[in-house]
Parts: sequence; structure tokens; C-alpha cells
Amino acid sequence: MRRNIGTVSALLAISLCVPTLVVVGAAGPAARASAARSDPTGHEARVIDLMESAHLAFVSEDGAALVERGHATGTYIAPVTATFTIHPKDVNASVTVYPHGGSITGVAHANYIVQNNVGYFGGTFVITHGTGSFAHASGNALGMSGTIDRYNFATTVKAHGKLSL
Amino acid sequence: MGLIRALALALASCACLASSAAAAQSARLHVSLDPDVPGQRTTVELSLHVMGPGGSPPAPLSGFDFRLPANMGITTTTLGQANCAPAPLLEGGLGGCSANARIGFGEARADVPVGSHDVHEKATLEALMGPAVEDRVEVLFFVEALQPISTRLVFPGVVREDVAPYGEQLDTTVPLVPTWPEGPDLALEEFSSTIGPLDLTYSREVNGRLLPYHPHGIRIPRVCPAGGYPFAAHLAFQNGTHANAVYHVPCPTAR
Repeated sequence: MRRNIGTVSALLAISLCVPTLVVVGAAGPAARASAARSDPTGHEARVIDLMESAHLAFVSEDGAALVERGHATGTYIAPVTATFTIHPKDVNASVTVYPHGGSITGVAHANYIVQNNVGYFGGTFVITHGTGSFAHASGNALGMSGTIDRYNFATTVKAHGKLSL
Repeated sequence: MGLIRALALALASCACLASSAAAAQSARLHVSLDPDVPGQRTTVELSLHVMGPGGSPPAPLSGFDFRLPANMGITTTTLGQANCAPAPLLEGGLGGCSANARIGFGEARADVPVGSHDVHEKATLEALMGPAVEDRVEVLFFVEALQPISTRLVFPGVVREDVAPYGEQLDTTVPLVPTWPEGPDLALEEFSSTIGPLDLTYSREVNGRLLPYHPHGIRIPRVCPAGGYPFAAHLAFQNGTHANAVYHVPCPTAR
């Protein structure tokens, strides 16, 4: 019984965070720029509230990893690629978003629960690097959640948190 | 003096019994892949034979771990599109669960000690996707026997991450099965099961119509490890002893 409650509460936590993300994501990019500071190189960093939602389709398999491609909407409307490595209890993912002018890449680690034909994941996302206009992109412990359709491996991903540019 | 001798004899006899009860059990594992092509998805066919010391019937099992090679996991398949709980399975048999929960099938054979000789009990076996346990994927082995003992059993197994050269292990619990009230426990001698899409058909509703399809099985890694794909089984017996069995499915070039 305890196990069921744990599973249900995890699913609830994932589903509850979805409307919250949509509401925050309704604000425009300019409204989300909340702070600015300089780094040691003199680059003035802007901090924005990232709110991204993506739908990805299965492309291929690379060993035990699922390679997926799709489109993100929210703070940035951009193509996105991702690689998911699914373990019995967790998922590791590498995600790259390609907004106009560059790219933002990060890695995620999330807990994973299978319920019938859907796998649910929820965890954190760390930005590892960027290119072009996003070369200085950074962000730690961004929230990430989503689902994997176990029929065709189609994936939905939602990410939110502070992005420093 | 006579009393001491009798006591000593009784103690010696107890020690002998304890020794034979705890004597080493052994197991033999065989695994085949169908199809057996690197890079393709497959059905794993496993067969486990359990033996007692000196050809005697084995001690009753309490559990077994079935270990899969690295990068050959159940979690990245599309097997088990529905979850089946143990209770409806025990009450209604296979009809108590969605066909989309089936992930394999096979048979089991147990030893039933009747008087001075042993009777072998055969049973059908179905592998199904169970409800998540502590947020882990669970596999249920549903065993249904008719003669000489009519019984339905569920062996629950949890999928866990393993260490190299293995990737995942299926940690399965075998319940005690008394043959009759106050009688001995059934001792599992043979256990065979598929895990994969072979002879399984699922259905999916598309535009109000149920369409049949075959799920995707476990992918065979493109690169075969030296010595073949390693599978293993670790068995734990009710008497506290253990046994291990390893089987390497040969690499295609080695055949």
C-alpha cells in the first residue's frame, strides 16, 4: 500500500507542476529577464526564467540509449534533440536546444516510474555548455519532468528554472 | 553409560541430517535468443534446472536472481503495456489481467515428495508486468499447476540495476508452497520462461478500433562481449544454501 501511495504521489507531483509551468511560461522573454551581473571575464550575465516544453519523437537507438528529436516551445521556440538512457529506476538524458543564434546543452538525471504504457520521469537538469549567443549559458538544478510513451518512445519534456546567459 | 551412548548417537544422527539438509545444491542455466542477431530486438528464452546433492531432489527455493548482460534491459522494451496485480491473477487466472501485461511464458516442474518416492508436478508459467514496487518495474511469474496438487502461485520479481558485466537483474521471490497441511514444501526443479515478444500479441485502440501488434523485445547489443553475452542465475534455498549458474550465449562469429 505504501508503494502505491509513493507512486501516486510521484505522478501527482509531476502532473501538478505542469499547469504551474504553463502559467509562468505565459510571460514574454523580456518580462522574464530578472537580473544582470558581470562574470570575471567582464561578460554581463542576464538571468532569465526558463520555461520550456518539448515534444520529441523517437529517431534511433544508440546502444541502450534512445535518440529523439522534436520541437520546444516556451522561452525559446526551437528544435531540440535528446538522448535518453533508461535504467530500472532512473533516466539520464542529454538535451540540446537550438534557439536562433546558437545552442544550449544540458544533462538531466531523473527518477523514473513505469505505469502501464507510460514512463514518468522527474528530476533536475544542469546546463553544461552553450554555443553562439548562448556560449555563456549556465544553470544548475533546473527542474525537469516528462513522460515516455512506451508504445513508440515519444517523449514530452518540461524544464524550468533560472538560466544565466 | 547406555543413556550417554544413546544421546551421542542421537546427536550424531542430528548432525548428519543437518549436514545433508545444508548440502550444496547446484543449478544449470541455458539461455537462447530468438532471433539471435546483434542490434535486433529479441526474445530471451531461459531455462533453469535445479539439482540436489548426489542427484537427489533439490531443497525448496526461496528466490532467484536472473542477471542480464549490460545494455540488454527489460526497461527499454515495449513489453508490458499494462500492469497486472497479483490478487486478480490468483483469483481469475490469466483472464484476470490484460493481455497487454504478458511479457513471456513457459513452464515449471517441481518435486513433490510422497512417502518414499517423488512425484513430479508440472505447471504452466506466464510472465507479466506487475505494478511498480518501490518505484521499480516488477515482473510477476504466474504459475498454475493442476496435478497432483492444484495450485496457483505468483513469484514476484523486481528489476534492479546490476554491476558489470551485467546490466539488469530480475530479483525474484519464491514463496513456500506446502504440498499438504503439515507436509513438505514443493521443490522447484525446472523453470523455463521466455521474456520477449515471441508468440505475444498486444492490442491498441486507434480511432475506436483495437489493432493488434507485437511489442518490441530486448535489444541485443551490436558489439558482442568477449566470450559471449553473459547471463547468470543466483539461487537461494530455504535451507540457507546458495547456488550460481552462468551461461554465455556465444557471439555470432564464434558459432
